[in-house]
Amino acid sequence: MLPRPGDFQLLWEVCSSAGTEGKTIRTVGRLSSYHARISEAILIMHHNSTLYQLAVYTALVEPFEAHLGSDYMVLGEIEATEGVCNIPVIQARLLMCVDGINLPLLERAIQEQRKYFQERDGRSDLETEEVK
Amino acid sequence: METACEGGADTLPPELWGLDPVFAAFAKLYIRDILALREAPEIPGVFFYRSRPISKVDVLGIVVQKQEKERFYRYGVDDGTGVITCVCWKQGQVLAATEPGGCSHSHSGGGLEAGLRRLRHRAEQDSHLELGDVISARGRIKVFRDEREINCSLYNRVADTRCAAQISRMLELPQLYRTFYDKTFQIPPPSGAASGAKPSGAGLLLQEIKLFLKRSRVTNFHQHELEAITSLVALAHKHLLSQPSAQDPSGTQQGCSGAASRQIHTMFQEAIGLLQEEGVVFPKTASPDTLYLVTDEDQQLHSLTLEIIREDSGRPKGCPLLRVLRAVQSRHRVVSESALLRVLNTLECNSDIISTTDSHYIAV
Repeated sequence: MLPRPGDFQLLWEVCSSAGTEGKTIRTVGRLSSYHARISEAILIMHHNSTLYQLAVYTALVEPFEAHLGSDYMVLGEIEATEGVCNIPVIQARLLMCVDGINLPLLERAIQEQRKYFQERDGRSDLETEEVK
Repeated sequence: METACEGGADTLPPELWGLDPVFAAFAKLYIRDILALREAPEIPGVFFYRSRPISKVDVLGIVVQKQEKERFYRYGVDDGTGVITCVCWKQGQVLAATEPGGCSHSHSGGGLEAGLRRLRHRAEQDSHLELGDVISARGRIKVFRDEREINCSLYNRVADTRCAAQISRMLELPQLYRTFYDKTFQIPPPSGAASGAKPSGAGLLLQEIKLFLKRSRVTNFHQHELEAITSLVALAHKHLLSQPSAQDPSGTQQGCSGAASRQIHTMFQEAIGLLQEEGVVFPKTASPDTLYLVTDEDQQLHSLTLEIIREDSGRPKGCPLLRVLRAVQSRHRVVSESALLRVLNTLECNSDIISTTDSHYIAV
């Protein structure tokens, strides 16, 4: 049985969207703290001068080398959109260090991909309407 | 995602799939699209993305699942849009088994051998992936226990610590889809068909002049005489009218007819040029307003050629073509090689001569 695909989302999108519990996503953020005892890491990202935070349960991916201040990509299921300190929580299936990632380019790539899918879905909706 | 695989009405028949370049290529598709491809009813292993036939794909993604079997690994690959199983055969072990002697020659071998071993070692390492690694895989789509999977012919780990490969793939795919996969493939018309379907005016005229020469059995003509034959001029005129350039709005009626007659004149000139190339006629002199002689009707030329070959028939292989040509040209007049070949052909058809090779002749 294959797991569900991890849809690429930017960290502030994960923090701003509600009602996404159970959804599989992948996102990138900077590791700001890691508590090995409770298996919890915090990823942060600044966007438009607002700080966004994401709590990551790391029980499934331990042990891993935690470099505070490095960029990490996490892939997993969202446990809660409003966890302990009012920040979303994700259960990590994969956690990879992607230090040096070109974030603006990643953002552009994600937007391009979404734009394409929107275009295509819009077009095929039109086509099905025409058929009807 | 049923929409991506609809539209079966405009698909090509199976015998024409090979004409679509996408069919032979490893198509770089989103995994979600690979999972939604429509299966071709006629042939297993071929799928359709919209109207494009696809059998081989190229994917790049993160390994999210791993199963080891005796002879292969099954990796679950996630590219952000879908997850598909890639069956990756253990090639490294095959390589190690075929390597003779193992590491007994490790220090005796030169740099080349050591380099080869290093390469093999690296290839082996790259073919062994862990969860979270980025894999690049290409292979055929297969259906196993009702699930699609990719039977990889080539796969390796991508050192992608900064996600550069994944980002570039994400940027590349929308472009590829827009330029190729989303477009309906149209078979380009064969290049020769355009000219074959609509022969040029001179070509049409050429056939008509040949027929005319055969029927009337004229032995010689001037170009202006040919231009006075009503049937030929009518044909040229008809062709001229069908051309878009003939409906030139500028100029008076007088100017138009003048231009038309000039065009007809050039058309005749071209046709006569073609006739000369084929050897049907040849000019008596080199001047532009010369008399053209019809090769087939020139009995004098035929008998002269036959005579020359007879004189030279003592040679073991027969008389060479170039010798005949030179002799005819020195005794008679300027005859083109194509015209002479036509004469020789006629003589051979009449069993007056025999060709011993493709350029030697003897008289019977």
